[in-house]
Amino acid sequence: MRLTSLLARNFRNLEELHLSFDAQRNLLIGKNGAGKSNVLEAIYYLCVSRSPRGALDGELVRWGADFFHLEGRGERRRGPFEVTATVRGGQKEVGFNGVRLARISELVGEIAVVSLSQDDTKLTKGPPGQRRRFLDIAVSQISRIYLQMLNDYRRTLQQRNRVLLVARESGGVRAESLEPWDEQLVSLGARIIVERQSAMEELAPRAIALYGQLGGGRDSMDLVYAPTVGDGTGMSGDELANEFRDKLVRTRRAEIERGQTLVGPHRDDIEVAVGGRNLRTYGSEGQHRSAAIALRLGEADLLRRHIGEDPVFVLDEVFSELDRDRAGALVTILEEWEQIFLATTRSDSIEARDLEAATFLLEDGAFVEG
Amino acid sequence: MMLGPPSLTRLAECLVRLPGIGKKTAERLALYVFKMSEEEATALAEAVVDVKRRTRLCSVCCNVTEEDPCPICADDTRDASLLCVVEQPGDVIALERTGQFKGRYHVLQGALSPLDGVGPEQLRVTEFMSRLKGSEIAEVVLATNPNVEGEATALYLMKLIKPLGIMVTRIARGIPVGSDLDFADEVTLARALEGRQKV
Repeated sequence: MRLTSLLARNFRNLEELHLSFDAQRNLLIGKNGAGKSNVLEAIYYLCVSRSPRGALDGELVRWGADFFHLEGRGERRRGPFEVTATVRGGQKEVGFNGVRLARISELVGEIAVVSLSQDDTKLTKGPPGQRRRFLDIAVSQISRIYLQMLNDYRRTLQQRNRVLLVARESGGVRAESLEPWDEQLVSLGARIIVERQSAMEELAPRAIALYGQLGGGRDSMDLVYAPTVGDGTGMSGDELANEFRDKLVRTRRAEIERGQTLVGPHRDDIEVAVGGRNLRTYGSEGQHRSAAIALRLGEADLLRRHIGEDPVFVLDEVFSELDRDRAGALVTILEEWEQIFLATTRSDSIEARDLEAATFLLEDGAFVEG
Repeated sequence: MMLGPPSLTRLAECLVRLPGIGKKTAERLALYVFKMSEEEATALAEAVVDVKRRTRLCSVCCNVTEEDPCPICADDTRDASLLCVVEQPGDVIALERTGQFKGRYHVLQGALSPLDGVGPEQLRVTEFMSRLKGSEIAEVVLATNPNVEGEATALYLMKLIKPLGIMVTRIARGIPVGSDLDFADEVTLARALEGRQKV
């Protein structure tokens, strides 16, 4: 799928920007603060109605304005599409092909997107929540049912945690106050783990191979899904539900002491190792960078296989920190992608030289020349 | 709130406390009341007060009613062996509109939601349980909402009813009738598949 045009109004520092894109490769060039990343962020926002940097909607409104508005047009196999997003006074409105969406989550999966930025080293450097979010966004884009399960699970978890918190304060809990929440936590949780298992089974070997390709085989990466229930490999929903239920019973006392739920997919992790050593603890900066790229490429590959077409790929200042071999390898990998958007500060950077791309020169949030 | 005559402001401030009414809508409604004839405005005010003065909860089913017991509970032609549990009075109205349900109802006046401080004690559960004991009720239909809270409420009640040996059923979830399958969202469609029936 590809984006053919973008209109951004009052989005970050983009007061009024209209761009028509190349069907394949688009290179945004500009100094720091010129608005390149904001264009990429706008593209990502139009696809999943969220900032890839985790910014809140209100933070995306241009200083001094009281709303932002985004419009994107493009093509996918099913035909042309048009997507709009407006945030005004804390209210968000999203439209797809002229229909206002009742629930924002309905947008997810319509236009698949993958974002890669320097920030992504936190995928392997940061706490487990970063890696769960990575996996959840990927799987949500291929299954809206997963997204719904995730939302229901979160809601159940909040309700259950409140029961535990009250139990901690009042020094006990009756089994029947927890049971209705336990049942749903277990059935939703088991299904979430099943989906994560199968997504990781596909994603891991691809990401591992891509890591090897990037580093020219100098070192190897391992990627393992590490859930708090089950062993992460091919367990059935029923097996997982039984184990989950047992674990809840065994940890109940501790859960009441802490006033929160201690087992379940909200505590899962993905373990990443390079050269057999845990990356989070022992990784070098270069290894973190390569691992982040491999994870994102693995995500893109997962989406491509499930959706049957390429997701839109946005890359923010990714090349500047890579050595020449890795940069060259990444250029080769990206060449086979349907449509990519890249941002860079330098017009003589490797991606500017080696990828034949339509270039857009940006200054102070405005388009200068193409 | 809006700048304007104090009485208009006061009305708008009252309206804004209603669910689904924002500041702008409240102001527009207040101005609309200004344009009404005095008879219309008086009728509106009396209708509001009447609801408070005349209605209460039915002592049997906990639905909103003017007579106690409510017309449905008092109706002898209703099937006394069938009881449908719902969250809100509005749910009874919706089910009655179908004309398909001949049993009686029980209105919980909410659903379990610890986050909002709603536990079993805040719902009309005690009333419900005392209705079941020693009654001729043979089937309880759980018609709470198909969301996390409604589901938890249904599970909670199921555990309570089971020991009494009364049959418990849960309403099916699925595709709106008259719509096409390819227009249904995946989540609804998946649930409809889960709840498929042998024909």
